[in-house]
Amino acid sequence: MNATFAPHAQVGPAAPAPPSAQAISMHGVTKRFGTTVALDDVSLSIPPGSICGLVGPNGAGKTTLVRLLLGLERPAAGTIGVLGLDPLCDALALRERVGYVPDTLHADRWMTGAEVLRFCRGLRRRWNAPLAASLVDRLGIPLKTRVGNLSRGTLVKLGLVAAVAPEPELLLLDEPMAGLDPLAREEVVETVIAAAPERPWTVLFSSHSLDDVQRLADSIAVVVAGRLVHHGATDDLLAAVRRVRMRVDDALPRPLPAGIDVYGSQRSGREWTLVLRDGSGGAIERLRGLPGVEILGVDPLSLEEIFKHMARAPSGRNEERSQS
Amino acid sequence: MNGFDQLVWREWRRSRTILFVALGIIVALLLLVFSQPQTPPEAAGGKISVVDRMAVVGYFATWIAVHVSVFLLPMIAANSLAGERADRSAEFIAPLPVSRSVRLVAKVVLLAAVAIALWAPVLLVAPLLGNSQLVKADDYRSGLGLLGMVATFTLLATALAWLLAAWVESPVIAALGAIAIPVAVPWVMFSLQVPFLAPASFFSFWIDSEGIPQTLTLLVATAFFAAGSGLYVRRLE
Repeated sequence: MNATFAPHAQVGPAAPAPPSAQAISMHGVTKRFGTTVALDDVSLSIPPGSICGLVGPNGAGKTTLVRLLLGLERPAAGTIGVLGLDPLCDALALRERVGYVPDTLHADRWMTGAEVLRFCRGLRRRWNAPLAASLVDRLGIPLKTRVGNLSRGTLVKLGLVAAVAPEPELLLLDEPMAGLDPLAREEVVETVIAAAPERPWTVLFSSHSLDDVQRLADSIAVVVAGRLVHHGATDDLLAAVRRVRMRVDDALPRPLPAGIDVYGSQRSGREWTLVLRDGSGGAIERLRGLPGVEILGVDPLSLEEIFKHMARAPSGRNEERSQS
Repeated sequence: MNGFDQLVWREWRRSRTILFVALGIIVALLLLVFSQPQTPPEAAGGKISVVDRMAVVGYFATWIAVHVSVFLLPMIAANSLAGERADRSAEFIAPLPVSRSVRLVAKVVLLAAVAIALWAPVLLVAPLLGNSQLVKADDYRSGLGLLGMVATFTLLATALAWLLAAWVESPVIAALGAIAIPVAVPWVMFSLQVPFLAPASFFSFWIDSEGIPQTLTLLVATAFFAAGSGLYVRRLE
């Protein structure tokens, strides 16, 4: 299960770049908690300067993946390189160069916003105070209020400032937008977008919001049940996946002919709907060439629809559902 | 050390409430002592001098402080290690560029500072008692042995709290366990009539063995402390 992505470049089985050239490089990583397999043989490479959206259902292994990158978990198998460093052996050097925004900031409840930032600043070698001040101002963070009295949205914003102010080379965001109102989400997204062009950072953010992923990310990585089922350019994915509606006089041949790879299929009487993994090639023509098949329409899918199909068919098996 | 002052500050803030409560208890107990009617000794001519008052305050304050430390130090140790996991603030620091050993040292610094603040005055009070008519310096010095035993027990309980807190997630369980276990273990052994551990021989061993039990206790405490430190440093949040 290998996926190497280069922004605005061809995605495919090209030879992966050397690990040191990648901001994030995971090879055959497996993580178990007792008998539960949280991540299963995951290989993922993200080059510097790209923004990757990590999506997956609850419990898919997104947080575990992010924690492995920070050296907060030990993998059962596989190798991990982050900014050319080993997250476990070079943890401190790595954390100097990485900003991390969790789903909620678990700072001591008695700390004020200002104390949280002062504390983080004290532990960092690099801290861009004007940047921190401008972000605090722009995001409207009340610095005198204690953490225990801050809303979830404000906590995420505070965590974002603490992560961005050291000017990290890699920013890891673990579902920061979960549970935020649209206004707060917008502010978080805007902050990441606004800061990115000035800093050649790599961003990996896990999210349930496909809208945010579509807006922010160059590439999307989909994790389902601990397995990385897809990693590639967001635009390419949107261009590739197609829903094909067709009328079939006789039974649809099983298995489908080579070159027709589907996420799922649905049948209603003689009418079939297939979701093609790659409708940009000759798959639609091959379907059209099948005896007794009449194509009724070919439609693009939204990222959310694609994600749902991926999540339902993680192993790539054809999924057939009937409606009568 | 980068940001070490911030770590010590955080430890102080985390334990501040417990320390203030303990200080309040010490003051309350002192007030209780002084609310009792006092009869000035005849030798003092029916008057209590300022030196006498200071000596008495110091005497009782140190005794109370040493006894309060039996509960206070294990509570701080437990709160310092297990407390940050219970309130999940450990997850806040975990991704920051500071090693767990440095974090541990910051915790030790606070614990040691509190222990010194509670125990050091015990030794400083003796000279103050030189001219006191109310508390005789010799009597005070002879009582130091008992205070030493209390301090030894406190060290054992604190080290056990340190170990338990590095293991469990509840500071309450760690603190209670640390205070209860050193008391419960001998009691259970007495009940089970373990050879050589009858109450009479046990206590006579403690009193007559020229510091051997204290040394053994301190060795066990050191082992607990080292084990707790090792567990804490190796743990991933």
